[in-house]
Amino acid sequence: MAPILEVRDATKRFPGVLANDHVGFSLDEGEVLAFLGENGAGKSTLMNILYGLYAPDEGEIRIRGEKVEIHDPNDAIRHGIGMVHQHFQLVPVFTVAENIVMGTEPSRLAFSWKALGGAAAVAGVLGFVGGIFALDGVLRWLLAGAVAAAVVAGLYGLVTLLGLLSRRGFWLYFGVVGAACIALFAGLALLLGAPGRIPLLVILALLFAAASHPMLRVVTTALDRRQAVRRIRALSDQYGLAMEPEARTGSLPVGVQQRVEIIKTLYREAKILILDEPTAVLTPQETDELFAIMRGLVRQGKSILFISHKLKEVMAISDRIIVMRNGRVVGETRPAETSEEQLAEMMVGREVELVVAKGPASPGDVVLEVSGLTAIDKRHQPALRGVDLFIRSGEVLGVAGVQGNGQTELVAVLTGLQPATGGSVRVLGQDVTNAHPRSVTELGVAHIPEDRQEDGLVLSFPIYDNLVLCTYYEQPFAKGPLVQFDEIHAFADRLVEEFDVRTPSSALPAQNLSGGNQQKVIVARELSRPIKLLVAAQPTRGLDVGSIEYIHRRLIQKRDEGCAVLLVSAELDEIMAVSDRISVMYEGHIVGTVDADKATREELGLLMAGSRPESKREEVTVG
Amino acid sequence: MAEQRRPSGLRARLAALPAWSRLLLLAILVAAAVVLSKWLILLLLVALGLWPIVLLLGLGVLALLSRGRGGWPWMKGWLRGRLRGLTLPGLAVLTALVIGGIILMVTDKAVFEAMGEGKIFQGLGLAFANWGKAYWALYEGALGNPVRILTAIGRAFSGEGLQPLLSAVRGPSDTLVQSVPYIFAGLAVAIGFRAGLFNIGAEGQIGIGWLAAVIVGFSLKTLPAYILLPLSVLTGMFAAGIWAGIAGWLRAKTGAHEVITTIMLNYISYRLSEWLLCGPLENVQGTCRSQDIAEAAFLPRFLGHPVTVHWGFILAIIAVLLSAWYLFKTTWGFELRTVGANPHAAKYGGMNVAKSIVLTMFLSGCLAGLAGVSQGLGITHNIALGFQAGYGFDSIALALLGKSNPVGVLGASLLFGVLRAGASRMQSMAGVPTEIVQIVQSLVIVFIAAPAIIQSIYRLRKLKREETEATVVTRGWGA
Amino acid sequence: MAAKADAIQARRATGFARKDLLMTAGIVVVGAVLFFFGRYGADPGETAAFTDQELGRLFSLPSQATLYALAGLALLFGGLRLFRSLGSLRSVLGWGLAAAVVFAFLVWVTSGTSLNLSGMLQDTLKLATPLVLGAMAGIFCERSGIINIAIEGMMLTAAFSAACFASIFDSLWMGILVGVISGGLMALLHAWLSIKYKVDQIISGTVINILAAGATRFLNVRLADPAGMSAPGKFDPIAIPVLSKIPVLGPILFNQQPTVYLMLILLVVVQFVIFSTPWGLRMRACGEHPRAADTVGVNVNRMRYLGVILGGMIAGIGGAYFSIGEVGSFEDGMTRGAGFIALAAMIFGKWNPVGAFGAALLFGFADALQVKMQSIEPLLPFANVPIPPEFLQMTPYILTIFVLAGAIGSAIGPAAEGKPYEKQ
Repeated sequence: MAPILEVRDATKRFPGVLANDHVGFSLDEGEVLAFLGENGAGKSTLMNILYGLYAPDEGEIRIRGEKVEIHDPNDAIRHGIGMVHQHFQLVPVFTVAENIVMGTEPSRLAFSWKALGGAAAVAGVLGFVGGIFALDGVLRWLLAGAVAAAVVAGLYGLVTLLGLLSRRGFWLYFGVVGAACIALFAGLALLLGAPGRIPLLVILALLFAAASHPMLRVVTTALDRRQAVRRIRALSDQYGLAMEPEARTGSLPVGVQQRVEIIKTLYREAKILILDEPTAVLTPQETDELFAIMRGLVRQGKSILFISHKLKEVMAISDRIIVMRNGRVVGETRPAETSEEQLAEMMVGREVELVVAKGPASPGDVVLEVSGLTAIDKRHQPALRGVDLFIRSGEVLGVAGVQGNGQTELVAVLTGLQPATGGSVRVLGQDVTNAHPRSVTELGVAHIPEDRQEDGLVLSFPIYDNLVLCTYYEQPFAKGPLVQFDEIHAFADRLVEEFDVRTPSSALPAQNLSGGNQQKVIVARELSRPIKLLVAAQPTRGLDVGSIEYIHRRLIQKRDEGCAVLLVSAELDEIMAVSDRISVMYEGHIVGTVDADKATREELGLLMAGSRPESKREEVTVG
Repeated sequence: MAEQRRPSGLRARLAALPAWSRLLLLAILVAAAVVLSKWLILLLLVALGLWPIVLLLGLGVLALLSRGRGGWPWMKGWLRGRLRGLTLPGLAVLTALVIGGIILMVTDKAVFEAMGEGKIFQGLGLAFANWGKAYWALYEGALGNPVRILTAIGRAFSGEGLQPLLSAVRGPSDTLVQSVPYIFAGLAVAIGFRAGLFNIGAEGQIGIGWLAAVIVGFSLKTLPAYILLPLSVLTGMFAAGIWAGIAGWLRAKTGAHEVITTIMLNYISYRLSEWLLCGPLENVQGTCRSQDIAEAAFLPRFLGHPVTVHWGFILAIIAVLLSAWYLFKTTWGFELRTVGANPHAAKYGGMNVAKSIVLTMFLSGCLAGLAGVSQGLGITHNIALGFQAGYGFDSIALALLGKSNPVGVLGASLLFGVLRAGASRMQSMAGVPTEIVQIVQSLVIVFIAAPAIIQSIYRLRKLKREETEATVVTRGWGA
Repeated sequence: MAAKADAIQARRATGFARKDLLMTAGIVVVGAVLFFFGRYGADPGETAAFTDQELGRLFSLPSQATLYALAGLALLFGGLRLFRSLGSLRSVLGWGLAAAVVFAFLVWVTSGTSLNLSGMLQDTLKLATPLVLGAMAGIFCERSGIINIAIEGMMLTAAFSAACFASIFDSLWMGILVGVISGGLMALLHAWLSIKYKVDQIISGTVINILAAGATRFLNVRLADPAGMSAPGKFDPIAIPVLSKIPVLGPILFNQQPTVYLMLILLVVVQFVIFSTPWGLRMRACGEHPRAADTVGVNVNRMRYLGVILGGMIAGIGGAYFSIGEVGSFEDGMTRGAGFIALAAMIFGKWNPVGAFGAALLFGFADALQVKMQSIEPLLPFANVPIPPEFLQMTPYILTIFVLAGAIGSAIGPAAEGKPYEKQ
């Protein structure tokens, strides 16, 4: 039987980068095919080609043996390809139903007896009242009311009829309306005694008929919400994906939003589903639920392309695995025939240390102490509901948890970027709750921000400016208000070399650097000060393996130098590899703290989902 | 921060001197300049009028210098490097002028009449003739007639005195005078742009500055010049600064976009001045004009009639230098530019974003206010209704043309000064309404802001518009 | 973002924001001012009489007592509003507070004389018309993702071309048509610059404004005025028979210029189109999350072009109002900042046509009141001096600033506006 999808020699070039280099694969019906590769390997590019978001420079796509051209998502959808994106393509202010049907909206004629009746009634009443003041005799008043109601009803009916006509095709509408307008205008012109205007009026009439067609069409087509909701509920029952169609998408939890994305593809009768890094935002338990849904979909005849960089998941769910590296397919295998180590090696091209080499920690005095911290998020909802934690010098505390449980706000409050609504933060004994970011920095706290391009760097500024972003006002970089350029340049050159930032010059703007090198600039900046506490938020997000290894090594190095390190990450593997102690955040609380060497994925996963594991937890107290 | 420049021989030798002797050298130079100011300005005016000669001299000097450094290739490279950034602005201005000329021709009533009577060639000839007349009037009004200048120099040397020369350089003088408010207003907007703020309120701030300076100027008649003049200038400056600061404060505290608030403040300032000038401050019934300021508050002029160049010009040059220093050599300027480039990163770096916004609007207002101050104390010596002359919107074009760089703004302001000075002569000589200049200016903005248009017209390679010289990144209304 | 985050930064642990405390202080001041005006601005015996053109005297109120009562009401509403727990009731209270202040002001102005209330309301709707049209223009643009501060320029262009072509064709209706077309053309320029060349949208909008101001003045002086082309006269109000005789409502709604009727019709149509049709859904998606729209096959840039051009056409009607609806000829700069006030109305109305209508009515009322005050000339308490007309003319602008400052904090526009969309 022919594979349901076949890709040959897909190639895509971007300026300076060969994202896909003659990639080929085939997908059988009812199969889960996983694409494994690290960030930047080309998996997403390939999927975007399949979905019509990119045009391939070379290559062909075959669906059930037939060659197809996919120029845009509409084509892809027509051929039965649906995509669940890594970053959800959902409009937060729309309802679930609106998000799902957008693009293939069920519509009906915008006519409602209620509206007609209501408008006519109002007009009738107004006419009657007006009659009271303008005319004599109750009969006349009633007549006035009746006339008003009839006029309004007539106009409404006329517009509706024209709307119906406009659906029949442009030429029919143009002919009818054009002729009617010409007759009307010409008649008026003759009546008003201006026959010379008629040619102009004819032109206007025709223009009006042409222009009013699309407008009338739009105005008389209403969104049929009821039908949309009905269909969505049916799909939701069929595939076991519970959801509420009238809910506002932005307020739904991430797992439910993902289900909306899936239903979006099913609504368009997709046969081939592309899931792009779907588990990035899920807890281990939610991931298991997703896998159950995937198996259900496969049972109902769908075929799935599963993109991920997580080895465990790929081994767990896929029937076949294709490994990509640097835009090429470097291997194809099945879970039964391979291991995580082999896959990692294929992904990176060399042997990979899956565990960071680190010695035991030797914690000292308490550096950071947080008690009862409360704060709100951007939407004025409570984000931190009483967080307690502490870190000693010389140890790494990893804060695990799915994104959106307060980690972002925790880091912001700790570094002074956001005020707390209650509780306290003490660094080295000093109360820094609600202190200005600069005072926190001056106490010896370093911050590697979650969003390096938005918070951590000024992309348009030269690298050397970025390296003194937090310290530009201090000696020796400034004498009073005067900037000391020589000092800054020397400093920058030194750091670029020490931290191996790949750039020909420190005068180039930061936006020229790759993601990994940008992060190295930030790391260089933060680690080159004498610091007592390092707060690292998602420090390796979107980076290649080499950069990830580098940053982990640096974090451990700082720990060994006696610094306290707070590592906040959504990647459980990273937390488990680097931390000495692990705290789990859920819904604004710390729901559990365990020693890293005693922690298990299952235990942490349960904590991340909010339930307490049955096994005993160590009560870690401040000693 | 500014790029490192390799120290040239002269620079190195200067840097090697001890600080006190450098200051002494500077003081001597400044004193000499003040004493000789009259002649220096006259020289500048003559140079402007005889710019082809100056250009040739400059090339000659360049050729001499190139002898030691590699000859013609070095010279070509040096020129190309310096002028590369001018391609886009230069072509933009040229194209805008050409289009302006076409508009002139197309809206010429005389041409219509000729065409209407079927005399096509006559009509075309008339069109080009009128265009030539108009653009020559533009040129002469802005830069004077070179022949006339040369003859006047001759007459000056043959003992007839300076008067013929002064009349001959009236064009360049008007250009410099007209460029003064542009320099200040352009700097105001440019500083705003650097901080990510869009100060459209320059117009109103100019008015407030003018008003305040003139009020002080005629209210405190008894004070001596060395107190009254600085007092008037500073009052005008700060009043306008505070006026703009209101918008800055609103932006910082409530997120209200400064585009709308400054425009509203503009209208409020118009009404305010209407009330004052036709009411309490009116000097002669029905004129809506204030009384004249005391002579002690005049910004002194350098030369006699009709050369009206005044000390405001020097103030403007100082403002350019100070702005450049502030933006690129101080920590305050670094903070300002960071807030403009990325306010999140600025906050992360410990900067107080709100304070920067308010301070920047205040400084921007001060600069705009100086535009009004220089007009009020240097040219009109009073304030009358209708003083607004559209400097506010033009200053946006200036900031864009000058790429938000003080020196660039200086160049652009001189250009606009040329256009303005020429336009008024064009109106009196050729009957062309001065609004043609506004059309040309908006075209210039369009071409600068969308370089691809010039690119496709002239089939150029990609014009690199330095992203680092920030054009504002719009951020929506409240964000 | 920076400003809003900093505003949040001002909150203290008690949960009461500094903004709330400022509001309390403000409300106390407002109440005190009202009380002050009641005590010193009105004599105990005076009444404020409100009339209607058909019915004569409608009702009259004892000025001082009413002012005191309204002062108390303002304090009550303002105080209650501070309690967050009341939820959506708070915005009702906010409007109540505003209404109390406005009514109090009205009473003070009318105290001792009479005011044609229905006439003033008629003027309110009329003066609000260009603002509503401008706001709808802004809504179309911004909801599709393009910031539009060029409404002023579009209106000015439309005002000029409407006047010219109304003269040429000797028909005011042709004037409106041409106004619509010219508004659309200016909008096309804005869209072309912003979408194709990705020029910063505020700069592109400013360019339109400058170009419009210069071109209209230039062409007026050079061509139109000499040819006598720019003074075609203006529309007379069209009274709908019978309905216009209804007391109070009649003259307001049924005895207005054609542009006002057009505005009302458009209001209903635009509200429906944006929120209840598939086309409107896609347009909104382009402004909120263009990538999501792209991935379901919506042509984002084409939708944005449409949004901007339609907006420009609506603004064109608004512009035509000025020259052939209000004055009868074209004057330089006759729009007087209406385009920007329309923007404030749009923001205040939370990017909804109906909301913007409400906000525009507020502005229109202020404008109508200001005109009335120039004839009534109420005396300031103590000073016994009439308020200079120029200060009255400032009111719409001051009001705009207050509205903007207050509304922005809570108003969130389309999420993706201002950023050019790149199809990758």
